[in-house]
Amino acid sequence: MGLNYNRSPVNRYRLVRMAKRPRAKSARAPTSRRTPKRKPARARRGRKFSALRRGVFAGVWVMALIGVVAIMGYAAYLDHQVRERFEGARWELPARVFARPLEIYAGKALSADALEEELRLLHYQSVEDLTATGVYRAQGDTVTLHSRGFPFWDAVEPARLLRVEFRGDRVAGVFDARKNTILDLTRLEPVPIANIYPTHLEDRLVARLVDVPPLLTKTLIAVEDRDFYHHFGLDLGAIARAMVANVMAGRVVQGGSTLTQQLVKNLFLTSERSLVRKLNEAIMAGLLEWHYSKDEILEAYINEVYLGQDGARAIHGFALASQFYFERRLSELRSDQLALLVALVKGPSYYEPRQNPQRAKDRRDLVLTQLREGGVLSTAATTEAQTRPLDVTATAPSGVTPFPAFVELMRRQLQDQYPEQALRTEGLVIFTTLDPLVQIAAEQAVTSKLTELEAQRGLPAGSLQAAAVVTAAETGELLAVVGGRDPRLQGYNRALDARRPIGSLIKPVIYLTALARPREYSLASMLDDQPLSVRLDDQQTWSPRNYDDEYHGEVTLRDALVGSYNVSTARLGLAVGIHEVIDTLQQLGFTHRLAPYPSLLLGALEMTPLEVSQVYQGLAAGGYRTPLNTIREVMSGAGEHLSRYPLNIAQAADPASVYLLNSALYEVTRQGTARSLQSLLPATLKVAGKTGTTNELRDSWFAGFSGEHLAVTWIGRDDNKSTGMTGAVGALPIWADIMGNIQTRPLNLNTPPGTEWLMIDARGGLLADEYCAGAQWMPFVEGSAPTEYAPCAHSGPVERTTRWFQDLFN
Amino acid sequence: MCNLHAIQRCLIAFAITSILQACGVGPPVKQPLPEPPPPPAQYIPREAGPSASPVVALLDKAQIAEQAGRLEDAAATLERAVRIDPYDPMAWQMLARVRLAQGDGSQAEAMAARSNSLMYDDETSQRENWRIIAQARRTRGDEQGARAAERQAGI
Repeated sequence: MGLNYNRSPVNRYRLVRMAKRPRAKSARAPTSRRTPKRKPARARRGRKFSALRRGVFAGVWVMALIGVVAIMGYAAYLDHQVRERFEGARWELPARVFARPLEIYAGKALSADALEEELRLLHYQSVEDLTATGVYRAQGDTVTLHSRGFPFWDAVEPARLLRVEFRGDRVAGVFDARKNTILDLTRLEPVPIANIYPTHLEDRLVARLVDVPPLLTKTLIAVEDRDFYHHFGLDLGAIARAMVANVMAGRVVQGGSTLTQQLVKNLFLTSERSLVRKLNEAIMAGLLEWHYSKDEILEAYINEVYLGQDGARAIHGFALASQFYFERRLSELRSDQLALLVALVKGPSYYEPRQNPQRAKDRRDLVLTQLREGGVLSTAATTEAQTRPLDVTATAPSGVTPFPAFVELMRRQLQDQYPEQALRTEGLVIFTTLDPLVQIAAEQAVTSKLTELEAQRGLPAGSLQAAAVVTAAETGELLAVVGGRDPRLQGYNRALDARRPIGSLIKPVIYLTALARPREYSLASMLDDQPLSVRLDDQQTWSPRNYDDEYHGEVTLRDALVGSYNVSTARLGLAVGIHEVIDTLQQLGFTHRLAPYPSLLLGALEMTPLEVSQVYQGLAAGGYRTPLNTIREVMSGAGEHLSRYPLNIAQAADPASVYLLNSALYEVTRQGTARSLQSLLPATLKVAGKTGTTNELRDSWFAGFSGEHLAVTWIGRDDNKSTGMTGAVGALPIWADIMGNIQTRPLNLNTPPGTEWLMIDARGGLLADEYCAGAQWMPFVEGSAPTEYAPCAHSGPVERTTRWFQDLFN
Repeated sequence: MCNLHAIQRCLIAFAITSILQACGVGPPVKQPLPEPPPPPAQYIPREAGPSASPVVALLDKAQIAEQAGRLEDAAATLERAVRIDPYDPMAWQMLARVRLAQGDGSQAEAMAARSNSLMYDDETSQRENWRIIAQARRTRGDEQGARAAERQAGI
């Protein structure tokens, strides 16, 4: 074709337009000049005719004039239509939703396996030759990959040949493999997770002509419209050839439509077959050619063309078809793959390669032959391409999101700013916080553990339901949402909508309320865990009981939480005040209004797993609350910045009190109700958390966090009957399975300024020393620790030190 | 031999905790020794923390954006740094400064305080956080609070 595709299309348009417009005008000019010349000739001849004939002639003339005006008016109408449609928003484009990009840097907790999983989600191919993008090679501790690059909000990440070296489950280094330089950090393109389609379900990815492989346009022109660059919208030669072929065959075997005509047909006209439509098509094709450059028309064609069907979803444009058939970018396709896409233009359903592979292959090979005949491909290249299998993916990638629970939450958060219509039509690009590796781990944990628990406990298969929410502990970004045991099912989203009593999950809020008053309470404060009866305002008696009906006498505040004792907790809650507990809960981000009943202290309040996550996020982030968020940024399809959802934090509780609480929640996982975690998680992975169980074992909860992730899991039944499980038996194993299968870092127990650790004798909550059996280390807000020594301690500090030195030196 | 023993014991006197068991020596024990205490004392090296380098690279990038007046880009880059290492007090501090420049005093104050809660021994940086807090409070019209913060900042 001799065309230079590397030049910017914008420049090309201008050149072509400037060359064209004057020519178009001069072509019209003679017609208008011809008329006055003819007039005198006609006038001379007219004298010979009778008046009657003159009148008839004048009548015909007027009618012809009216006809011309009408045709011109009609043409002007068509012209308006063509320009409006072509220059306006040509298509309604679905919003594209992406997961978080995977950041890679030296020191990141990421195994080679996890990287490979991410690459599989991005449809990278494991190959030897790394020339094309979207491919990788894994050898031992090194993964070399050719990334595709991506235009992010803050910068464009270039396509690069990257070498990632691993040491164990950690990235040892990232290198630009071509330049052999160390990279501080890099990110892969994000995994697409959902599209929000126009109501007519036309799906399309728009590509710019510069980004389309030249071989595709060459193939398209060679097969569909050989004279594309030379005709004016119609190709009379092609029409004649088609007519001959059709007459010879006795039926329609060949069309003479140019690409321009095909585009006009798809863009402006119905599929009705009539002479009027054909005429309209011809006029509009001419108008399109008159107004726009060949490249503009070609680009529009490449994006408009219909190339497949996925249920109700129509696949339009070569860029989307490339994803649909090969799960690759257009620029990554080989000649045989491009040939197949062009082959499909003739009949996407007749040549559907997954259903009619032989038909599709025959047609593809014919296209390749035409390329050889047109001199586009060499004989050798053609033969090689023809021997290749079709290579389409076995199943079509679904247009339905695999993560409906997350996407639903995202849409709820988006709807304030973006109406439904905007999401369906404007081609928005939405960057979310979803971490597909965490999401998949959470889904697998829910599915496998529920099946396991049902089998172990002889429950009917499928009777249990569950939900899980995983967030980034510090930034409140939602990484995974599982709304039920079948995570692909769009439906009742329990993570968002199952509002259930939370049981003992409330307890940390009560203890935080107490610990926030260091003058009154410390972890060493003694609580009474003997049976309790409270006369309520309505003359009823409230008698909370411990789970196993065992009462523990005097216990430290820490032990009461670690053992999840109900009675001592209820006493504490009453002492600090129910209103104050509600206040703490609201500080932590629970917005519903609550009635101050004492039963609230034992968790008789309802929350969704998402709401529990919000409350615990403030604890996991050391007292700083941040609204849980699913969206980072929204850009227009053209890359303009539309909105960013910045990180916002607020101090919800005093960091020192939260630190004390978290140290106790860490003990819960070591010695308390969640001690089974010790055998379920690696010893190096310190975590903090709390079990929750409700009346008649209806709900089984676990909420807890590491130094990086917060996860909340819930098991229950949709009919609200008993599951027969406590939090430790049901929700905890799911939680442990999630935490054990994602790469996370241990709980951060670095002592914050203003706190100190001391040894305490749990029997009386007094200072202990090494003579005290079972003494415990506890953190205190400075100045809040007991000053008195327990009886087991050898004596006061001065004598103690003296005796020590005596002992040491004798 | 005896002398050596004495020195060893002397050391033990200042490090009462876990070393006791490691040495197998100690003061006469009348009762069983306490359980091995949970380790969280002071300054535990982050077992799994990433190296500082990606965060430092992002802080540099953010600084360039900040100086060029591209505050929103700077904020986006700093949030990326916070996502990578949420325990880096400098990332929070820079974010606080950018938010202050953007006119969001309450975020600036919260983030500077967050930075301080993660800062263990860097007094200069702690004072800088208090300076940011003071400025944020003053912008809000809280002169008394601003002065209190300035006292912390040593101004």
